Amino acid sequence: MQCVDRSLGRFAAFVVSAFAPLLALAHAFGEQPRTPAMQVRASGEDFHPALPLLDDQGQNVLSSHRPVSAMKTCGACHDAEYISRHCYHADLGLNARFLPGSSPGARHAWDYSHGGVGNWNPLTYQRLSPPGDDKPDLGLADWLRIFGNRYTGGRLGTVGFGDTPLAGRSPDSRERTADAGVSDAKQASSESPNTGGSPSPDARWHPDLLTTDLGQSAPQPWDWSASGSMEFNCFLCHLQQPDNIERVREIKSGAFGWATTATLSRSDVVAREEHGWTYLPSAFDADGKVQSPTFRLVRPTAEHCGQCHGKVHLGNRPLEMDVSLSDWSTLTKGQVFSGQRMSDSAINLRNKSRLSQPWDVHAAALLDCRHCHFSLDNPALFDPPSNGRPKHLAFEPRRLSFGEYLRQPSHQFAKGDTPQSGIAPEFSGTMRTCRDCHRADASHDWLPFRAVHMARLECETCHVPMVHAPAVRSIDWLTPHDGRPAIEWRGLEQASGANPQTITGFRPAILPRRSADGRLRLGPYNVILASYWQENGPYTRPVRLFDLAAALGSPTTPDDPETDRGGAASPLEIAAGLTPSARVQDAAPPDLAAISRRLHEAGVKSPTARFELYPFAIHHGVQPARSAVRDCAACHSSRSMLGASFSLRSGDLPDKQVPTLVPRTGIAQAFRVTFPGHQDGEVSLQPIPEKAGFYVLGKSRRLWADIPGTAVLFGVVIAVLTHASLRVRASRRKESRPRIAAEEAAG
Amino acid sequence: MARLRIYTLYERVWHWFQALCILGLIVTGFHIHFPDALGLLSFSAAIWIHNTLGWILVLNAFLGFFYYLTTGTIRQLIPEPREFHVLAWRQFRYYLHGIFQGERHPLERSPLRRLNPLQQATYLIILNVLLPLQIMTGLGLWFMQFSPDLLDAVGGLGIPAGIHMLGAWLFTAFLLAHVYLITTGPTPWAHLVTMITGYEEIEPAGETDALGPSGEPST
Repeated sequence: MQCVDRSLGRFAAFVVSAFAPLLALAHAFGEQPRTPAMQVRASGEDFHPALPLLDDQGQNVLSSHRPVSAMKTCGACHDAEYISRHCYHADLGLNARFLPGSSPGARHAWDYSHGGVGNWNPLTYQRLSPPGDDKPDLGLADWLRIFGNRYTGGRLGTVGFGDTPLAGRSPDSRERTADAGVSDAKQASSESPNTGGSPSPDARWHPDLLTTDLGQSAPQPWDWSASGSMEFNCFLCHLQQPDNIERVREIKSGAFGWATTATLSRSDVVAREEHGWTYLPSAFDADGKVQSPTFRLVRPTAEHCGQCHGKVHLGNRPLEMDVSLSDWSTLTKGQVFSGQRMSDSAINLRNKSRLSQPWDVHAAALLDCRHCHFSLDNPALFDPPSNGRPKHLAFEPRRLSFGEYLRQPSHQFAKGDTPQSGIAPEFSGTMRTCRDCHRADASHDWLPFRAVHMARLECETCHVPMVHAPAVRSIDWLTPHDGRPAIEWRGLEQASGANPQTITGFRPAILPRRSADGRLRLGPYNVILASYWQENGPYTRPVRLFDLAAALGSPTTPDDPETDRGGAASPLEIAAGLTPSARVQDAAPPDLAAISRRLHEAGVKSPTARFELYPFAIHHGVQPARSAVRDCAACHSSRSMLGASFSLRSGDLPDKQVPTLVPRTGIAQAFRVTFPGHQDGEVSLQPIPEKAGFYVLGKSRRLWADIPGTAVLFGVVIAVLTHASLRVRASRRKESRPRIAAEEAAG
Repeated sequence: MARLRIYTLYERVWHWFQALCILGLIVTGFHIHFPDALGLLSFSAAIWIHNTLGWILVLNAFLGFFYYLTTGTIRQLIPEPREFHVLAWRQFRYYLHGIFQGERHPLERSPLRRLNPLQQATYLIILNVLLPLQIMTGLGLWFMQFSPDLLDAVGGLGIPAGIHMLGAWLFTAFLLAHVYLITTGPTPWAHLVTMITGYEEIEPAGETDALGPSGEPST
């Protein structure tokens, strides 16, 4: 019997060893190269059954010819209502709205939420003015047209600040209060010559109902019945090939209701025709269900996230670099999520031939955003934080079944805790961090004082030593020209003469910030210097572009066709383009007093120039181990990168203004700002980690030890030299006495 | 001239071993504090050597303490309270004045009285304050690498590292003074030779407490 078993075992081993190489070869040669379009990473994604496309009335769009409603289409099986209500991408923090400046976590006095709206930042500048704002900047429709390209749709886009659906609401059906508000606004506008026709104070301003025509005119009613509302667009992230270009085009034109339909246009389901969108009957089967092979519903990939969050590039096509407002993380942090070798990209990188590492080692390892930023009730990935369960419980086995999860997948995604994003603070620190996947102890044997290094440094400090893409260095709204700020980039060498524009990349500033575990750690940041005008008074806020244009006598939009805002582009979107048309910093600082006077004359109360530093934490773009910082002297020397100067702006700041760190970022005030004369004619940030309690051997100095210590040492040296000299002198004198005596005796 | 054995073999080996350790600690410590100044070693090598020498010094200090305690030699380090002020002033005056006049050294060295009062006071401070402080802060800095919590509890490396650094400056100053003062013997090299060979040529002056060649009283 044993003999038979042994024979069978040998036969099985023979079969495996003979065919395994053949199978491997067949697999290798059978693998298809990636195409430029978004790819399904793994098989098994086609399990989703065919489905009919429904409109907001639940009718098949083939017969109704109305816009596709993802909420109705997907909601037939999934709890779309639950999903949209449990998604901070959908409400952008509006569900936790507070009175402007009343939250201790607010960064500005005019902030009214921690999310994408209400949490003002100087890059987007224009703000969605909350109800009752006496100087409204943007209404909801304006905001969607300008910034909706980075918005999935959802609660904000469908009900706004209220609770009732916006879709179908025409100016005639508005509430009387809002109607009166518009009339008041019109009247006040016509009666206020001193404001140059600017939107006048209107206590009844309601952003859901009114528009300022992208911040350029007095409030007017917006017709939601014509535009439709911007409902939660499941297809943007779950369709294999969403057409974001067509979606954005619909949004920019104010046709919000068709945005979801436009997203399907690369799936051969709909086509744009002269009169609008037409559904293609060939894409549907006899039951009215989509049968188009290109209509594939998949798990979101990094490319889906990249539509709004930053440059994502998968596939073999050489990476190109064109940065717009949609590439938010690229713009602010130089983030590029791609597994491609930098040397294979189509970018004019400095020392490109030597950059054989991938843009992001995690992308090269075929990781996707969802692996770290997973759904918080995903049964496969959910792990409650240790502070949310009893101490004796090492593992929480109870979780949703897959059926339950598929019906109600929470779209609250695990997130980190960064200084730049305050949205959904209740979920901060829920994502997978480096330490959740990597055992640093197993691979850092060479590192002395390992525990201290791990406790004092973010992993990215050494593993993202260099960002190889450009990012914004400064943005200046003090004197916008044609509605454009002056932008300066870091990591970018402008073309000069025969030399083309070169991307040099930049070394991040290393600053201390308190991590989720309570420890103060040094991590890499891009710090953007923003300058803008602030209106003071009972309700402080950044001065509207409208008022700035009136004061400066400059139009709010560019008049040249190349940089035309197209009616709904963000000012930054034009200025930030890596094109010759991008406006650069003026050589001479502006005359703040003169501009302030003109702003005051234009009706702006007590305008003051603000100069603020906005830190953006760098967590992506992780380099392979061979590119990580391993040289102790990189930190432990007088040239330590922990104290390396970080350029903020060329030239000087007007009136010797000192920029301040925007509050509530968690970053310790462990730096100083230096001005031209210290650093090559630039305003720079000089990190001083010692101010935050860090002591870095080889870099840090303790003057209370070094000064008295060296004083004692030099005192001893002087005493010794003096004493020794006197001894030598006394000795010579002693030697000379007998000789003199002898000579005298002889004489 | 009498040839007396002042230091035993163990004492000499112990002394030179400790001297090498301290010298190595000062050089590597300087390298750690000013990594760009010398360029002799890599930073990590300097750290490793410094830590290793530190441990050797601690071990040797413990062995020396055991030896001095068990042999009673530790009494040599304790000043005589009754005559201390007089003897210390005499020694001080000698360094400030007498040495230039060619006066005789106020202390007649012997195996049982090797240290003058100023040396006794200095060593008392070095051995009871400076060395323990250096050892404690050095061990603290070393142990904190394993416990960031401990590091947080003491407010980071700044305080212990600063104290350690101040101690290092003082040790260096002491070392410099010590090396200079060994030249204040009968000849500039006399004390150094004694610490190498263990023996010293001593000129009897009247009633001496000279001992025999073996170190025992020559009664």
